[in-house]
Amino acid sequence: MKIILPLVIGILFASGTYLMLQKNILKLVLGLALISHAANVILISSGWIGPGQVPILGKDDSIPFVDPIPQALVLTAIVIGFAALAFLLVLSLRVYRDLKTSNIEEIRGQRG
Amino acid sequence: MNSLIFRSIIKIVSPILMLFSVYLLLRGHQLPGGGFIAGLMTSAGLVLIYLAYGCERFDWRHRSRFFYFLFTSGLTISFLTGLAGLFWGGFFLKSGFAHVHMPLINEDWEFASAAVFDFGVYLVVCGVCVSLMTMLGEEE
Amino acid sequence: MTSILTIVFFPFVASLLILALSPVLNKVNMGKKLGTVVAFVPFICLSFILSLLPQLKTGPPATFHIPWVKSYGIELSFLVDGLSVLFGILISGIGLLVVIYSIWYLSEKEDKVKFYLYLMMFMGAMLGVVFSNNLFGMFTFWELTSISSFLLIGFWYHKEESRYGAMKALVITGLGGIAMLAGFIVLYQITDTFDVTKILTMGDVIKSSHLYVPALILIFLGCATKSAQFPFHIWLPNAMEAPTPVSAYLHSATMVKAGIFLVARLSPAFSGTAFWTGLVGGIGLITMLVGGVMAIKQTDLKALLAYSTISQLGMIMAMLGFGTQYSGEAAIVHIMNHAAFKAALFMIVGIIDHGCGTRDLTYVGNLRKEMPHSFKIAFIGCLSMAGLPIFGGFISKEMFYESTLHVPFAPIPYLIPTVAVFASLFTFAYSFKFLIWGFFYKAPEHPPHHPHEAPVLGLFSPVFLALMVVLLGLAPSLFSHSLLEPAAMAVTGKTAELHLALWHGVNTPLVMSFFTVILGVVLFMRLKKINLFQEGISNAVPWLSPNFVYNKGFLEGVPPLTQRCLWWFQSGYLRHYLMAIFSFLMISTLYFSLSKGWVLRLDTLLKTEVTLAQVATLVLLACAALATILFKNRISAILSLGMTGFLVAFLYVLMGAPDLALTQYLVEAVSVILILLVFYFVPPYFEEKPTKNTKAMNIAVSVLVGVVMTFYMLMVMDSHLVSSIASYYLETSEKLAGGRNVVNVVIVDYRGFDTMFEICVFSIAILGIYAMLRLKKKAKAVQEEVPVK
Repeated sequence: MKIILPLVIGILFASGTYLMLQKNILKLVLGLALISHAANVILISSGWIGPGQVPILGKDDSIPFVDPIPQALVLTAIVIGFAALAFLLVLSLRVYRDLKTSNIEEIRGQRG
Repeated sequence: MNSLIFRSIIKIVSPILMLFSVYLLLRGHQLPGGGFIAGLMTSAGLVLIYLAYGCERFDWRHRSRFFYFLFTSGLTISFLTGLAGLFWGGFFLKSGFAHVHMPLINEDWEFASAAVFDFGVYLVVCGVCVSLMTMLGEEE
Repeated sequence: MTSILTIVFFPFVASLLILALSPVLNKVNMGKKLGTVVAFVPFICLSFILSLLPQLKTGPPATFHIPWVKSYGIELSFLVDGLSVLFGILISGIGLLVVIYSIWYLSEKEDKVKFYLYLMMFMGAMLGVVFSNNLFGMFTFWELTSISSFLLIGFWYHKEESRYGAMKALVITGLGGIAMLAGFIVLYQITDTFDVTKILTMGDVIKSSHLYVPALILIFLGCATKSAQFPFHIWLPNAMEAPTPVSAYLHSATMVKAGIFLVARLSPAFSGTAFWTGLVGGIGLITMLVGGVMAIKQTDLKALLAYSTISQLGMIMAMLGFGTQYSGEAAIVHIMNHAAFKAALFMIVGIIDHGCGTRDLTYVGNLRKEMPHSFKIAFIGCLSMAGLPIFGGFISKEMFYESTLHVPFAPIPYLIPTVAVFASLFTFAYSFKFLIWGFFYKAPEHPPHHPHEAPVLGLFSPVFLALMVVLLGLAPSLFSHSLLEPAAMAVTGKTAELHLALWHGVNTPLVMSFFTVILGVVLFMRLKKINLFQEGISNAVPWLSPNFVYNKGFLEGVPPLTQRCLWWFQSGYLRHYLMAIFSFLMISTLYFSLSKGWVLRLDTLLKTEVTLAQVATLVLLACAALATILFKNRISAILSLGMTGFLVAFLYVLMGAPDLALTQYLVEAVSVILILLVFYFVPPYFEEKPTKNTKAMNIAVSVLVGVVMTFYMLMVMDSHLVSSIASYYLETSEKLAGGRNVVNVVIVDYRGFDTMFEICVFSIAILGIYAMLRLKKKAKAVQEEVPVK
């Protein structure tokens, strides 16, 4: 797990980056979503020490718990990420409506 | 999307989702659940109805105000809970809880201020998601 | 303490008050009232500064500290000694006179609110410069004077020349200010302090340091640009576009002396080396000569005075550069004299300008009958400027000659006295050009309207200043004991005793003065021919002037260069920005994690047990992520993105995070619907057809990101550097919050603020979306503004 997980996170980051570097504005949004997944997984795995108990009290408190703090942070991050995704999607929709293109390189303003 | 099978499934699934989301909201303090999850689940149920039936049964287009009202009131509730903490607890968002004995069912129920706060969160998530979907749905 | 704070901050408070009241003030027609009220500000400052006078003689210099950035030793601290009080009196005293003069000068329709706002801001900043005891405080005030000078030069901003002059002044003094800041930092490297009083005691350390020369050059650049020393003097003549009270105040009496002030302030620590004398003294003498040569050419009276100011500033700078005790005292005396006669002469030019509608000598002349009072004042001022007896200018000119005779490190004997006399010839000539051409000769053309004298209000200030000029000549002991001696002491670092008098017997300086007068008269007689000759030279070789460098080199050269650099950085392609950001982030991550000495320990990594479910999830996750980029069909791409999300959620289950898993499932479901909805409105993927290079770069950057993140994770996972506060939450969750689900308790109880703000962000996002979807009416306007290629 400790060897494969970093590898998979690397793949997630790499494919997110690759998508963001494309010209299509929607690919940019998809790439961002992939990268935010990867970041969340990094946070969670930093609190994961191996087999541990779900941080819900009341059963058997002798077994070590998984760290609840990264979980709380990531829970917030997921929801915020959703809001950002929605915003970006609608932004790209609006860009397409106004400028009649979804190619980022055509959207850039003129020089000077 | 408005095939018969889909509609029939939604007819059964959506109410269950809604009920289940209320359950998740209430148990959030003790077991997996809480405002975010419940809010998302409720809105998932509503969105499914919207996808299946469009505006046939319920005219979403003119109800968007209701969803704006949902999330603004959610924000207000959460904020007021914070203020209540300021008045009774000494600082903003201070939480408290109490165990109350229920006479009929003879059980101890817990009432936490955090539950009210969570309810605000629920309303915000629910309102935002549904108004987002209906807004997009109205684009044509 | 309170008095020094009042002195420095009262003008700022006043300007803020003017700013705050400006809506009211702009509505009412206040006439002369505002100026009258504002005049109290310099008056109060002046009386506070005068109250500091008695303690100068008795005690050591007093300092006051208010901490600012403690860790770097930057503080607001003030120093009261002879030098700062002398300058303080000049600033507030002339400030008072200038405000009184401006009451008459500014006509009804001028924007007085703005004028007095800037003027008071300048006065506070300038007082801050001279009273600062910390180099950073001084620098801050210093830059404020540049800014207020910029605003005042551009006061009539509708005129092209005003804007040009303001810009030029700001560019030159601003660049000098940056050099000076660098110089202060170099000085800090030597002395390890920003405190002026401490620096002044460390003269030997500074002079023996290998950083002495760079520090001196950088600081002197700041001083030379501010005090209009050659070749940076070019901004001062253009600054004359400012209203005349401003020219009299900023550009002759006070602000241009800030550079002089700083040189004088630091001279106990820096002077006494051959380099100092060569740099400061040499530049000073050159400036004196160049200013004089240029001044005799001018026909615009104000330009004449501007170049004469340059020349006089050069003279003071030269005296400070000589670095002997006597020359330091001479510099102090001349600072006082120059401020008095030059401010008076500027005010006279303002009166002439008002009275005749122009100040050009081709239209203005023979004014002594029409303007009898102005004539008397100009007479006193010009004779003092020329260095003729019974006026203050004579005393300081004699002292200047005396000090040129004893310059240390002089390369050739008699060179410096000769240059001094030669430069003074021009001083003599331009002083007489002002006086004789303006008040005796008849002008070739007629002025726009018939000359008339100014009323009492306009004459009050110049008369007062002329009186001071006379007093400085006839009774210099009035000032020398209480004011000039402490100031000279601060400059030379030794106890000074000034014996100022008009008559010292027949000595070398007197002979030099005699020659100056004789040759000066000869020069004045030939002035018209010389002017023609000068005209010929400047037409033949225009590149000789530093103005040429500024106009052609700076104004025409720098903007295209910066634009090209900017275009190189700001290509406008998102892809370029992203690539730069990603590469930088990854390389710095790699660098810092390696420099921290983190190592991979593969043995422990391999030891941990793995379950089949975990491996399967992770492998599938990798496949889904890759599928997202490989699918040409967008629906498949979205579905594989959704798949990624569901697999991540399953990973959360395996990692003991049920709340996260639930949230992730739901968010993923809603997001996929959302993405599909949006994609419904947007056309399908287009063929991208990247070139080989582009594709290779994209792949290279993404692989770099992937590799570095993998590497980083491998190192991070193995090291738990910080102990978590989770145990606290786990122990107290049930007791304090009454909840058993610790994750949720953290969200709604312990970290309620986070959640509060999060739902705010959520709501803001939907407001933004609402705006983008519903507010369509403005779409057309936007479309016209953003050009599509």
